[in-house]
Parts: sequence; structure tokens; C-alpha cells
Amino acid sequence: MDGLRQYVISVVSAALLCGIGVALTPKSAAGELLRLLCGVFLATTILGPIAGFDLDILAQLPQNGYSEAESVSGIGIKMAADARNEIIIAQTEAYILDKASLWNAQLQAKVNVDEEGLPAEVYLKGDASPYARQQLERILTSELGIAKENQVWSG
Amino acid sequence: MTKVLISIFLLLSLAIPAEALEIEAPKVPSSSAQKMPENTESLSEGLLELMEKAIRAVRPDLTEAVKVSIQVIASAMMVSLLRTFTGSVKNTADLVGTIMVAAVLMRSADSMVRLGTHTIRELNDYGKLLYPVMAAALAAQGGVTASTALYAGTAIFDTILGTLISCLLLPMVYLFLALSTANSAIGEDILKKLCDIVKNALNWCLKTILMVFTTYMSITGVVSGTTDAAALKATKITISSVVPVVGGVLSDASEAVLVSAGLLKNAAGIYGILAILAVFLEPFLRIGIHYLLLKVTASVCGMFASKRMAGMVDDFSAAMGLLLAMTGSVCLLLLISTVCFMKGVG
Repeated sequence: MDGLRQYVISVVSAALLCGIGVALTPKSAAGELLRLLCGVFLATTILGPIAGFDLDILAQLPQNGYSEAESVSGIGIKMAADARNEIIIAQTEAYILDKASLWNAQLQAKVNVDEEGLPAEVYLKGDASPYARQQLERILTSELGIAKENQVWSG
Repeated sequence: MTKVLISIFLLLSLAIPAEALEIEAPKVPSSSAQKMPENTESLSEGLLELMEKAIRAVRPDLTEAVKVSIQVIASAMMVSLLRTFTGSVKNTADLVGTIMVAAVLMRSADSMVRLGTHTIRELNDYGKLLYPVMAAALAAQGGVTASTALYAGTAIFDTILGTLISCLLLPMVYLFLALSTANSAIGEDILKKLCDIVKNALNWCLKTILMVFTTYMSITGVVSGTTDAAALKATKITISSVVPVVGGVLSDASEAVLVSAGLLKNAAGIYGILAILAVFLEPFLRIGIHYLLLKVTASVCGMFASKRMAGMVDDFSAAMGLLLAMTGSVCLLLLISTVCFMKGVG
């Protein structure tokens, strides 16, 4: 961009010089010759650098802008996924505790979700009768889709 | 009782996204903080308050601009009086008069160009903070394609316009003024064509960038918005058909996040628009006052002053017009982008 600014400054400076030169020269054959020379000088100043313009910087702009946009969108997607996962974890844990209370099981549940937000594993801690535990295992597998090997019981 | 408690807990859990989603518009620059309206949640009320504050703030500028106009008119009158003499006095009076008027005008024009430069820089800086927030919010709301496309377009055009204005167009305003003064001093309209080219090039640059940008944003907004809406619908159908209970939970959670993201995005957008206008409005009105008064001065000078002097005053007002166009273009670009991000999915 500095090159472009330089270009405009040089064109305007040349024009000013030519203008002053032409204005100060009397209208004679020599004056006409000076006008002609000024014209050639101005044309060279204007047209010369145009051929050498580097357009690579402009060509790179869309690519840079797009990769920046993708990373910004990625932040938004991650933010939404995190918020959604928080809700899913909270609701799934509440659902498990609700079901556990049906069989008088006093439990603490900690659910982890996978990348798609689906419950992937659960850590259960507390007192539960063998019957309650069996019923809960069934619900965890069939209703919540948590595989048996990912249901970790303790306490 | 347990069921009621669990239901309350489930309802409360839906409020989680508002906290988890940290979508907040960046704070307005400290120099414009006092111009921000008290109520930043209502656009119409905020706009009225902004206008009121801006109009009150430009009062001293009106007096200043009137002083400049009086100085210019007085100088032009003096020169006209001297022009009644014939011979070399007439030419000397013209030359000295031009330099005198140019000196008066250049001082106020310089302060206005500096004001415009500062405003454009502040708007650009604020935009650089606002765009990522709005794009992330739109992506969180499900507009993944739209946010990427809109952000890419905005970032590219903002970079082009910002760099072009600060590195090329603003110096060109000074060059335009220099050419106009030189043309008026020489007095043979030799540089008039070049003056016109500079002015037209400036106008053309701004118009073209804004036109291409608006077209890009309109097309991208419609195309990517529709794509995102279809993708969201497909996702909802897929989610509902997953494991019975999990499907419902997943669907509700996604819906809650989308709604929350939408609400937060709109709030950030409204704050962003008000912040942009808080930065923009007062300088725009100040430059606008100088522009209008210079136009009036040029008309008044046209009645008694020489054509070249009236033309120079007119050129100075045209320079103010260009400055208004530049500041307005940057602001418009920011506003269009924010509104496009706010429009969202669908």
C-alpha cells in the first residue's frame, strides 16, 4: 500500500511541476515544446509503475480472511458444544438420580459425554441394592445408550 | 415431591447456556464511553439518546465553522475590492488572496482530516473486536456456514477499506487540496482536470468497495443462511431419532443453546450498533457542519469573488464531503456487517 501512496504522490508532484512549468512559459514555439515534454514526462510517471504492480498481496487476502473466519467460527461451535454438553450432563445425571430414587438407591452420579454430546460413561457412587443396581444398569444401557463396560460403580 | 424438585432442577439446567456462552460485545472505546446511552438494550431509545448527545456536543463546532466562513468571506471581499484596480495589482491581489484564504481553510480542513482519521481508526479497531464476537455467536446459534462466510467477507473488506483509507485516500484528500490551491494560484485551470480525477477516483473507490461489499453480504447471507437452516433441521431430525431418552435430552439441550445464543447475539449486536454510532455520530456531525458551511461560503463567495477563489472554497467543501464519505463508508460497513450477523440463520 505504501507503494501505491508513493505512486500517487509522484503523479501529483509531476503534475504540479508540469503545471507550474507550463504556466510560467510564454505561448511560443519553445512553450509548445515544453508542453509536449511535460506530457511525455507525465505519461511516463502515470503509466510506468502500473505494469509493475504486485497483485499477490491482494490475491492472498481471501485465503487469509477465510482461515481466520474458520477459526472464529470454530470458537463459536466449541462454545455452543460446551454449553450443550453441560445441559446434557446435568439432565442425564438428574434422570439417573430420579430413577435411582424409585428403587431407594442413594447415589451420586457423574456423567461424561462424547464429542457428539451423547452420554459415554457414568461413575456411580453410593448405596444401591443388587435389584436397584440391575435395574439401573438396564436403564443406563437401553435408555441412555451407555455401554455396560462404561458404567463404573463404587462405594 | 422428588419429581417436582427434579423438574425444577431440569428447568434450571436450561439456564446454563446463558452463563456458559460468553457472548458479550466489546466495551465501547474509553473516549466515546460518555457518549453511550444509558439504556443499551433498546435500539430506538439508544439511538435517540445518542442523537441528542451528539447534537449537544457539536454546538462549539458550529460557532467555529461560522468564524472560518466569516474569515473566508471577509478575505474574499478584500480581494474583490483590490481587484477593482487594474494591472499587476489585480494579479497580485488574486495570488495573495488565494494564499490567505487557503491558509484559513487549510487549518480547519487539517483538524477535520485528523478528526476523520481518528474516527476511522477507532471504528476499525472496534470492528476488529466486534466481528469475532458476532461471528462466534452466529456459529453457536447454528449458522456455521454463514458465520464463516460473513466473517471472511467482513474481514477482507474491512482490511481493504481500512488500509486504502489510511494509506491512500486520506493522503489523497491533502493532495486534492494542494492541487486545488495550486490550480487557484496559477489561475489557468491547468490542474483542474487532475483535481477532478483525484476527487472522482476517491468517490469511485468508496462506492465500488461498498457496492461489492453489500452485494457480497446480501448473497452470502441468503445462500449460507438457507444452507445452515437446512443443516439445523436435518440435525434436529437425526437427534430425535437417537436413543429414546438421550434423543430428547440432546434435542432440548441443543434447542436451549440455540435460543440462548440467539438472544445473547442480538444483545451484543444492539450494543455493538450503539457503540459504533457513539464513536461515529459526533465526528460525522462536526465534519458535516464544516462541509455545509463551506458550501454556503462558496456560494456567497461566488457572488462577488473571482471564479478561481470561489472554486477553491468549493473544492475545500468537496474535500470535507470526501471525508464524510470515508467516515460514513467505514461506519456503514460495520453496521451492515453487524446487522448481517444479527440476522442469523434462515
